[in-house]
Amino acid sequence: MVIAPKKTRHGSKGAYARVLTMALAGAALAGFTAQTAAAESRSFAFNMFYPATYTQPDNCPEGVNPTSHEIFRNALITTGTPPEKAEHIIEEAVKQNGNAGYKPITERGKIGEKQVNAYTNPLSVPDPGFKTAVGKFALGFNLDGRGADDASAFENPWTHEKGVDNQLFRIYGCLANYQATPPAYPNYPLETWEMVRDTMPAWLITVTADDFSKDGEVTISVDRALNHLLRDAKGHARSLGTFRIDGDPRSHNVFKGKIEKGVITAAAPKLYFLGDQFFFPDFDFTQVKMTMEFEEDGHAHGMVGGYLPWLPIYYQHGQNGLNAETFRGMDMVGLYRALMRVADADPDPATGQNRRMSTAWLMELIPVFTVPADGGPGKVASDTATIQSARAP
Amino acid sequence: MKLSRYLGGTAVAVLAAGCLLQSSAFANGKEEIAFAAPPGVTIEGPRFADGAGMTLYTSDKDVDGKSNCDAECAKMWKAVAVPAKIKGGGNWTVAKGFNGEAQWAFRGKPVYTFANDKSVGEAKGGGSGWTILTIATADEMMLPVGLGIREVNDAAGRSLVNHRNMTLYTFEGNAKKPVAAEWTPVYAAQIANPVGDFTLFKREDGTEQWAFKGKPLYTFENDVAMGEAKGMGADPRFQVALVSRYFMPPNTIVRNNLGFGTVMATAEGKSLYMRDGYRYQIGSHYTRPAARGVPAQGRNIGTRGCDAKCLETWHPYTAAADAVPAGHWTILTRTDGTRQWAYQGYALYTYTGDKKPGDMIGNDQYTYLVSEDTAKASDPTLPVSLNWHIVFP
Repeated sequence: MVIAPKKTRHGSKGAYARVLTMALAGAALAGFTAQTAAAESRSFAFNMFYPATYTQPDNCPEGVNPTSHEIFRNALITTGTPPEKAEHIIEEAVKQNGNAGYKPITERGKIGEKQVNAYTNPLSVPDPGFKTAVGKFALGFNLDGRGADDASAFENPWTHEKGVDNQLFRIYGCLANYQATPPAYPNYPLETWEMVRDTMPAWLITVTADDFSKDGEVTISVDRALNHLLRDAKGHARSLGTFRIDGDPRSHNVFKGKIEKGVITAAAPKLYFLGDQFFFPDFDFTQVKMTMEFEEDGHAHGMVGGYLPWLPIYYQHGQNGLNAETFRGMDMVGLYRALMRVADADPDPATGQNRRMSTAWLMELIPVFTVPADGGPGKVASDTATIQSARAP
Repeated sequence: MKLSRYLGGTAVAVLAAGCLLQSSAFANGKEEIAFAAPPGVTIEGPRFADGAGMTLYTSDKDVDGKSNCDAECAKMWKAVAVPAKIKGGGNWTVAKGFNGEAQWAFRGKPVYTFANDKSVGEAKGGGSGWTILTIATADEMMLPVGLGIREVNDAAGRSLVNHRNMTLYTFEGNAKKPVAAEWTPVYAAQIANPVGDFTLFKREDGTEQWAFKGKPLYTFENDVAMGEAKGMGADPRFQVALVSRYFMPPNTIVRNNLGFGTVMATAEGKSLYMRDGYRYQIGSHYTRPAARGVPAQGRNIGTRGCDAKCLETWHPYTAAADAVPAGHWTILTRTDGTRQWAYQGYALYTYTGDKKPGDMIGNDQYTYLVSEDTAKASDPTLPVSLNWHIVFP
């Protein structure tokens, strides 16, 4: 197996095969009159995009990170609350509606004599510890080029490439609702993705080559759409929709790759696309690597890796820290410290603290059509002005 | 026109019409439409308020357009002054205050604020002869069965709507001749009788159509949701059937932007932005309703959160020295004494990264307010992040 295994849970595939057949039939009727060898292009929308976890029994020798009750209890006790009182505070907080009862927990930070919000001032709380994953295997790429020389890196269980850099897996690997091995999805990323994909502008990827049946160079473009995914009657993402490409240049990426024995690989210095506040505000990859494989029914799947700033990773959870601690069993103070600890790229020139972290993400892609919104990718859609300012009478 | 490079022919014509509207103070075709809230009167949720957002009241004791609120009464009830050089119109007239000063009156009754209302949104003064002034009151008029009035922010006003709350348009042309199929007449029942400003227009086929102030009424087929007014600019003979309009500052427009619908902009086409905080919500914030701000949050943020470096790229949308708040627009005073427009509570800015009309490169830029300072806490009155968003009308 080269990259992520095929899945059938998401996306309607039969329709694509039918339309593809019709399209080919139509082309045959037209007699393929064009004499020039036009390049082939295939466009896809991201149907699933989630952190590449590959959970193994040896990932967390000391067990997974604690659940919410234990997080709250630890948080209160380590910040000076007697154990009996800590239990009482937690009981009272759970009984109450709203967040007021949780104030001793959310404001467990201390600066001087003042209690402060722990989620916006994470270093104001002693490090509670955060269990990170260890082990031999992780999905991802050798991003730093050190390969087998990198003793702290993983091995890709599918390709057996050594030196795989995926510190995000270390972060997520000992959180119960992130633990999964493909083809299973990690629970929390699945949950959030299912929430945002119905409204978040879709991400698009288009691959162009002279001939996909032969080895050679490919061009890959990644864009954001103006419209979002639609679902079919079964709740699966609907294939073969037409997506308008957002002209916002921030989410327009083009880079080269190659196709070899049906597998596409590519590398790029940067890859950026806007996300969603509820999920990830944006993805700002550096030292990007990508691999991708077409499926017979027109779908595709693959993996993208690169270094991401870790503050947005914290933000995804810290923006509603109490929720993350309550429902995800994720101690926010511990998470922040762990992110600081395991970040492995882009050191701050002043402090030396790494600001980026190696990551890998699995993607499942459905076939779609794409059209430029106006003026083509990289150009902002022109628009119309309507009304009207009015001044005082 | 400079914008013609970026706009289609129709759009340019519409924009030109918009410019004429600014200079002539007309809001709708040849007819002058009164403000829903005149200068010095704002709209806070369902209520009218003064320029500072304090709820307005009328007194049962005030008759004949004159205030009977003497010095004793004035200790609790403050007259709402008419800004200099401003005339009345529609529901709003200039009354004589108890001491002869110019005071706003609504439908002949002078209006006041209540001393015990201490913050925006409070309305403690209702009852005992004092009436809270609501927007619904302003909409009171004789209507045919099935028609109503609702806010249509795309058209910056309050418009007639049909039984499905779809925006209605008036037609200034020969309605005996066929119009484009996208315009559907608002048919009247066979037994309908004229009412108020509504008359019956006999169509060629013998059916009858409602007309407002003598102009036949239509719906536009591309309006598919409440509050939409996509027919604006489609045909200059059709105008949104406004019964009152909202104030907009000079040189402010609403643009119809591909993929994002209507957005607020300067007359030059520069997108306007507000700075919002994180809000927990299931589902993407890209949906228009989700992306709308919460006025109280906007007021809380005010002009804060954009330091000197931020101000190099984000420019406050300044208000003239003699500008006064009106409708959804209020004015904030910055620390340097300059005045800044705020829309529905949020201070507005333009972004230097937007180079041409329609650019929205500033949209979805994030500032994470996570502090690593262990000596000074982050500002607890600000949210965990501040995000730049385009502004929907």
